[in-house]
Amino acid sequence: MVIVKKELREMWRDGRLKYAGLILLILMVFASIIGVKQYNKTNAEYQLARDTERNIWETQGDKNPHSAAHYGTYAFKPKFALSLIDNGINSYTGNSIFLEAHKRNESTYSEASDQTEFARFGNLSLSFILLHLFPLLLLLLGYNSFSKEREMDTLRLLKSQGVKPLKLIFGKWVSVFLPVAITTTILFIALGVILGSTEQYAYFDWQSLLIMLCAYLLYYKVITTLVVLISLWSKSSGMALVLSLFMWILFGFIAPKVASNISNNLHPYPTKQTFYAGIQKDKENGLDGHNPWNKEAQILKEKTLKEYGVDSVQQLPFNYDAFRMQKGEEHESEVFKKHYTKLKNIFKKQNQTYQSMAAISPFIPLRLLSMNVANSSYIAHWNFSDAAEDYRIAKQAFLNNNFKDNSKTGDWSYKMSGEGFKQLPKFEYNPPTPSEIIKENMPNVFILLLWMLVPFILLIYSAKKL
Amino acid sequence: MFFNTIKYELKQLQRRGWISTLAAVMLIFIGFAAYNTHAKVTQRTNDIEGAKEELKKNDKKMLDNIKKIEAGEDTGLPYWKLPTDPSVVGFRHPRLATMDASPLAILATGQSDMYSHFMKTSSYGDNFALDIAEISNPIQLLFGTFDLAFVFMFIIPLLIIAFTYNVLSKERELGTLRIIGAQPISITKWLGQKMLLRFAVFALISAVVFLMYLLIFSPQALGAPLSVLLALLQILAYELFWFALAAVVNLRINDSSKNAMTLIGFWLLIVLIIPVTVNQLSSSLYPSPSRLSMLNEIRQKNREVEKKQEEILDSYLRDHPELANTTDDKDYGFWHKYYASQDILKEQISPLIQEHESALGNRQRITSMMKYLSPAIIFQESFTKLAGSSTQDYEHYKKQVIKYTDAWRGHIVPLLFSDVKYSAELYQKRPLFEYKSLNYNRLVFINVLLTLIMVSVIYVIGRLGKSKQYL
Repeated sequence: MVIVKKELREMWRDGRLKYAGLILLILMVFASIIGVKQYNKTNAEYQLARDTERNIWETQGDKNPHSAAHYGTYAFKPKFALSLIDNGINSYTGNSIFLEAHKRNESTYSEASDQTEFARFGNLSLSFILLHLFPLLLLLLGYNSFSKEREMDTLRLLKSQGVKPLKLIFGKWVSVFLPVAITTTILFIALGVILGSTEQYAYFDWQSLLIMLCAYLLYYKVITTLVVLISLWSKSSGMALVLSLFMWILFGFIAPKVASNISNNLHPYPTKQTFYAGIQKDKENGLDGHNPWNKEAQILKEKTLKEYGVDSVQQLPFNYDAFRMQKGEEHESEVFKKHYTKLKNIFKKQNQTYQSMAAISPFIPLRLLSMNVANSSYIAHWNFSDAAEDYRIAKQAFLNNNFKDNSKTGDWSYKMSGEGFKQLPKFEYNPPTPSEIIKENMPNVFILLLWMLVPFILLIYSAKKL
Repeated sequence: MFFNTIKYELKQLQRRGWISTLAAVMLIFIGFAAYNTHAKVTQRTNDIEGAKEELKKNDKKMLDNIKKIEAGEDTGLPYWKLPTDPSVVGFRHPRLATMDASPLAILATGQSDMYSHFMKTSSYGDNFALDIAEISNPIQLLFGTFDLAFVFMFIIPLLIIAFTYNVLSKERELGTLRIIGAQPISITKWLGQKMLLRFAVFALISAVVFLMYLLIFSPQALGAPLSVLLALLQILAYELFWFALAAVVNLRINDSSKNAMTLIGFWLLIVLIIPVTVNQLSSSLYPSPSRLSMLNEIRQKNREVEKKQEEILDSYLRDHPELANTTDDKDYGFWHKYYASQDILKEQISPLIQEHESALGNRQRITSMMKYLSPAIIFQESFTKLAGSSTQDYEHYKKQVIKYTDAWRGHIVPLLFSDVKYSAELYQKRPLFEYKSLNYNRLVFINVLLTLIMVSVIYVIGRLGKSKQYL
């Protein structure tokens, strides 16, 4: 405790803790206010768009169900409470998906596409402060923790006073980690109180917030250990600063970019045109719900007639056109599933590349974990996109079955009542639970723990040589 | 004295291994960045070539079928796929609008990882809803790519800091400054000479390495010598800015450790804090207009138009009598109603889109104005503009695609309404797409001047204030 007190007092006196802390505090307050303001604005837009779209759907009046299917509707991605802390990839994905007949659409109109290239610098958000500036503060607090003792030749003095090396190292480690850990914890508690105070912050739970806090604290422990280790091994404070700074840039800026390049080179995504051409080809090879002369349609017709023991589709107890369209939808949804699964597999391989790049940067597993917990990750976006597709398939079945059961074959003038459209259940998206997220993110947690453990062992080992 | 200082400094740089270290570091970083962007540009070029080949093949097949139909032969195609029907050609035989990579595309990935570089446009579909976004992993977009713009803007200043932070302070700490002080030259002048030499060495190495990789990975850049020269000038001006800053810090602070901390502080401010704050401020003060509310409004208009399709067709034919069939027994089908309603929808939605685009344009202009706050933002702008990968380039491309789609529709629709069969002769008259890129040489030149003005400001700041006792 004596060492911790002395170190903290020294940091305060030389202004590092005071001024750097003050600047960070100002930035943090600024980022929080702007973050809350933007969150509220986006959330209000989402709620308005969702309600308006539902109203458009419910008030479309009497209409042929298949026309309604083509007119379609939208699924909107909800805004998650913890995205206030880490907005993740949300700026790069749109937050609405058009749900129409015969087609699985991607989300469109990302925020980034409405901005200039300057937006690629990033935002002064809470995640920027937590991911980049807090580790920098750790670096500033700890870079000369040992090198200055060596430069001033006070290390020998300390040892002569009977200070045990391990205690000394641990004391210095705690004095570097403590200010940042306390600030982060206070910040998370304050945000938790704000997020939990009203219902406008959807999907908030303390458990996820706690997981997120633990992840960041774990990362700060890694950085603290490495900074103290560098200081212990460096001959001068200048050298320690340069090395620590290089580590900071490597972790937070270079490695993620290199990981992106490598993952894209190893596992490239197909172009949009190629992707859709593949889907189109497969669609044409199967049942076309709109084309009764299609080979697969002929097979279906024969099979259905045989099953019901009738000679023509007019004799069937339902509208065969609607039945065929539904079968066509089912075939198309299988085609989409196949191609999107392929795309997802590429993404999984890219994700593995990111995780393997975690060998040179603990920032990568932390960022992936943080985004996943905040439901602002690519995985979360996939989950939403898949849920929207499931809803689209169910919606198509709802409309086609209504058409099939309430009209006769060839009766394209049939109109479903306006009230009928209200019966379509609303789109609800249920994100994974915190325990499911943790289970899925075990590799990231494991890598972070490894990053924590190995330098810490080295630190203990170095203490013996002090 | 001047030559002695230069000679001594050069010897020192060589003996301490600075020249080889700088060359090695730059070879690695610039080389890796150039390779990465080159890989992306190659992928883009190959994709475009593939799409062009595919179009050629499909068009040949379509023309063969047209010939067969004209000769009365069976094509084996169902009637809704016969290419003599203009609506089939318009819908099933999309045209290709490509955005070829600029000669200096290797400079910066910019927004190129977000957008598609070739669009297949058909006469069907909402032009106003054209989305040129590419399928990409958003994590990659979030992290960005390791390109030349990143290396020069982000890493090179750090190398300059490492190279210059203790030029004066080290002499003082070693006690050799007193010897220099005894020479017939002022310390400021002596430092200026040293800094200029270091800048010359650094600039030469970076210029040679940059040009070498440009020639290796992007020889087509030679076709745009003025742009290459401007890129080089922008690099040198940006490097000069950091050398000037280091010189002032050396003069004003003159303590190695404090120099390093101060310069790193400036680096953080210029390269990270100002750009992210500017971005955050512009998002908050001038938020993008809501896409979601625009979407709702479009949907409502769409519904109104859909309900009135029959009336719309009548009104459309009244406005376009040249397209109305003179015989009374004309049966207008899906495509006739569709094109008629699309035109009405476009008319109704245009004010909405224009309002949205004007709000976006204003926001983007204001964000661009904030570049004066940091030379890093200026540098980034110059490189993305020269690479042809800025938002403006993709908006320009999108507008050209929309215009071309209109031209293609204009080629098809009159044929449909006047019941004309599509033929090889008409195919020869089809509109063709040619991407016209924007020229930013003037803007980059101004950016270079702006950076140099910033250098001058630093120089003036360095000269101002009380003279310091360096010894």
